[in-house]
Amino acid sequence: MADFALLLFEFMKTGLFAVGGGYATLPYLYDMAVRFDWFTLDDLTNFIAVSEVTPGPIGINMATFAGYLAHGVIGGVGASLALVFLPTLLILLLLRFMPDVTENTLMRRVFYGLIPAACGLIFVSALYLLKNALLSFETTSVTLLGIALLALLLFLSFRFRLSPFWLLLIGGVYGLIFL
Amino acid sequence: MSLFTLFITYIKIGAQAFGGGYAMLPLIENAFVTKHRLIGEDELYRLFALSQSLPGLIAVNMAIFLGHRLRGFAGAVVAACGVILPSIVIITLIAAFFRRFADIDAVQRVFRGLNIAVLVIIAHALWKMAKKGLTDIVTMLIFAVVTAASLLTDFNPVFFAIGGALAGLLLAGREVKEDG
Repeated sequence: MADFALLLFEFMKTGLFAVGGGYATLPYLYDMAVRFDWFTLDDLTNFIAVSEVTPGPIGINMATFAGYLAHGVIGGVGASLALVFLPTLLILLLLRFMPDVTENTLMRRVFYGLIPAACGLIFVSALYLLKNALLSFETTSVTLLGIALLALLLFLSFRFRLSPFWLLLIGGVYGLIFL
Repeated sequence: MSLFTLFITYIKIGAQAFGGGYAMLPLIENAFVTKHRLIGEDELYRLFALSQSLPGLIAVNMAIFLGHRLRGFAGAVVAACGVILPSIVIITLIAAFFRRFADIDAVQRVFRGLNIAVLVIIAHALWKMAKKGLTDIVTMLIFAVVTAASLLTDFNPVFFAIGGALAGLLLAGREVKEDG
């Protein structure tokens, strides 16, 4: 019970501090994987991939998966609701008391520093995920094939703006054949 | 639009949006602008921009704003519940069976490829976010300090988020642009 309450608390905190959409929850999920025995780093990399190939908000998909691994069905539902609880409350309060929220300078100044900090945190989580992905390859030749895939997909994404759907399709098929 | 129709419309949107919040915009546009003409395109884009710059998930924030705009507070709650419901059901079903499949060799190989693709998707999203957020020396400095500190220490990410926000508050000059 105490552990379930802790899970809810961690996800409420994540919801409040993750600015910039679903991926902004990554640093907090990574932190949970390290500090608690709810799920492992391998679970985390796998459920990011599952969250990408299933419909719906990526943050909800990841929270449901993480919560399920920690505490079953109730954990999944609880983690998702906890994640959206504080931002929902915040937006409803803003709509009630500050309808011109976009024009508010204080909010703008907070986000001026919060967004670069979130970028840094997501960048570091991505580096850890990269390290974890590279360590999952068993031999040097497979590692090189993995790096080749990374280079290919980076090129396709940044040069040709290929959508996530195609990147995942190419990655999955390439993985089945070569990795 | 009745609360029930709003709920069903958002369930459909949640069940069709592959790729999260950004993939949802065309679906929302189709449902609320093209089909029902309940809101103008300009206002929809304004709400979308606002959803991106607040804590929380873009898709859920957007549902709250749109639901509130159409049916007040009840509409906000109904739309938010609708957009997360398909995700919770689908992922719970997958998670229940996932560990049984995760040991199969072919599945592991597919996931090694998917994980690389996910890294590239994150890199691209991060790049877009950085282009908007890292606009001057101060923001680049905050980014560099948070990156270095979070690599070298194991403090909770919340400290860095609060630190960044405080640094922004103290250091933001008048150059913080009018339309963010």
